[in-house]
Amino acid sequence: MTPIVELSDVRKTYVMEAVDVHALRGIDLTLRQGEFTAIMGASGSGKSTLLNVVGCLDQPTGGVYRLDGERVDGFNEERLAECRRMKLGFVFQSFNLLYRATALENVELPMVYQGVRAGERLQRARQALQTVGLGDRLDHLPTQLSGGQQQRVALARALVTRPRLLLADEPTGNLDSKTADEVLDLLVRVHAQGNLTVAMVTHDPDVAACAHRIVILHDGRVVHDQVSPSRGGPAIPHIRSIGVHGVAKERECE
Amino acid sequence: MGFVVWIESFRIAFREMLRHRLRTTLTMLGVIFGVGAIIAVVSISQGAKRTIQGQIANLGTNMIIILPGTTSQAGVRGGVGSALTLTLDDSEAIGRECPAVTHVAPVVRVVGQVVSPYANWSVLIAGTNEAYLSIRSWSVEAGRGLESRDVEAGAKVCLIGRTTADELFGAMDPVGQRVRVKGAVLTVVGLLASKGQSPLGEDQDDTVLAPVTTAMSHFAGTDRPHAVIASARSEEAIPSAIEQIRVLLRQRHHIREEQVDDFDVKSLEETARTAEETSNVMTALLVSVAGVSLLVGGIGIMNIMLVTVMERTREIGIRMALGASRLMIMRQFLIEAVTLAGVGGVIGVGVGILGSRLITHFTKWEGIMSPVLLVAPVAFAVTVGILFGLLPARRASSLNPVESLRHE
Repeated sequence: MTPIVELSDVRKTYVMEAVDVHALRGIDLTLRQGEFTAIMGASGSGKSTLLNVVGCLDQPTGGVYRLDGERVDGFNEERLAECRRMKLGFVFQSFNLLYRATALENVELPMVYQGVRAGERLQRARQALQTVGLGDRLDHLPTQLSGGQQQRVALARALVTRPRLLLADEPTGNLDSKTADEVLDLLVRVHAQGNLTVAMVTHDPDVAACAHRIVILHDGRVVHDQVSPSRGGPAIPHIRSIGVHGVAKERECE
Repeated sequence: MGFVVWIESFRIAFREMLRHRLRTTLTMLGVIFGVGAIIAVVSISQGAKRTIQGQIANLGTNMIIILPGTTSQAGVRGGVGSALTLTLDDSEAIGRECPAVTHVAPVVRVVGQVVSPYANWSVLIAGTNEAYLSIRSWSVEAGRGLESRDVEAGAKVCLIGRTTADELFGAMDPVGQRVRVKGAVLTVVGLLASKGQSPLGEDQDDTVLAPVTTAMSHFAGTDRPHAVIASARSEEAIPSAIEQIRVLLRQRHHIREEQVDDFDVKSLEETARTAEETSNVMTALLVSVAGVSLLVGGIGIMNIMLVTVMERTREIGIRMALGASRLMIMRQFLIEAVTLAGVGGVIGVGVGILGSRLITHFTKWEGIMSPVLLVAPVAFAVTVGILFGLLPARRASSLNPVESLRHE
């Protein structure tokens, strides 16, 4: 299958108070079309940095990054913004909705930057909100929605532009377990329906269990890359957690 | 494509303004008062300018004033008029020998008590001739004007101004009545038409005009005019008329090559130009003060925009993550600043018009509005918005998306 993300020897070094911090120390990773990958690791392992680099929010300081066949490392701000605008969708742990805009306006927003006309924008935003089950909450402000609903709005916003890659950063981190399950189920469902490529950062093995493939980072390097046997299917039914956080848990996924 | 983002930027701008009504209002006040002050000041000063011009035109057409000049005796120099160097013969000679001059009138002035059977009133009495009224573009409302035979005969007649007539005779018809001026009894033969204030604010209607000969022999106490006024053939002829008068008077007064004139010839146009320049300087001064307040308004906008950028750091991060480029973010905040300034400017126009109306209402001054006057300050306000919006907008656009998204 077509590679969407190709990282080879990607490095990221910060200078903090005159000390070099190596957040990524040479990542080789390829995410292919339709793959649902969980990126795991303890805090400080570099998973957030990796997500920022893959999400074109940040530039690697070394290595080669190809997004959708195009080499994007070394892109200027303007072209990085264009990559985010045209190819990427984001879901964040803290939802990151514009809290003063309605659900509908939030979902319309990325299309504004794409230059989609108002009529089409409205129609597509409605549809996206219906897909995530919020067809009756179009004019609600985020403050009038529950956490789970807010994250579903965020998901609709990420999907409405039909991105090549959906990046989710701890999408269930701020939700209680029941709501987390609902959001996760929704993510799994839209992934399955749309042949969507998903990269999800999580430290929760239960959440990671929904993915086909689990990549584990440690100290800025990929230390584990496991593809589930039933690759291509919706998800594997059971997976033993990788032991990053010790106790193995079992979790049912679709 | 850019179009959609532009519309969205304006929408956001208006929404933000409505959301923070108090903040918006306070921020806009600077611009509102700046623009309002400019409009009020300019409209009033343009009105004043027109009033001055009208008053000067009112003084006389193509009028030239010849004043007796400075004397210099043993090194002590007197000021203008320190010696009455002009004579009635000079006045007549000017009329006879200067082709660019159409009318000449000598003027003697004296302030004196004028007594009617009903009242008495202190007034400026001018002794002059029949040409005076046409030089001053003045007409007679009732009765007749001075005639040359009055001057030749030293007739005991006079014309009186509107104000003087009111003071001396109340509602009665003054024509045909008698008044006493310093012992001389004069018959009022004409009532002057009302002329209003002079540019210096004097009431020109509070006057008595008598034949120069009569005035000189009975109450002026001099046989030399305090001034001679003349009118040039046309506005273009004023400089040549002045030159002809100078040459003639120098010759008549036997002034040698190296000596200075013992008289002063000037035209009212010069006076008008001076007055206009003065009013222009005043206008420029006041407008720059108002402009400074508009600039201060701009600083207010910058201040509040910087606060806004701080408050909305996370929003900026979200917008960037969703694909807004730095340019789009910059444009959005610039548009917000410009909208603040622009709306403030438009409100300022209303305040300016209102202010100008109020001032003219209470002072009886004149205010003049023009489309340029209403549009230019708004354009200035918008420019101020752009200038002072640039820094906050740049700051917004240079935020790091990763850090902004983490911002609480």
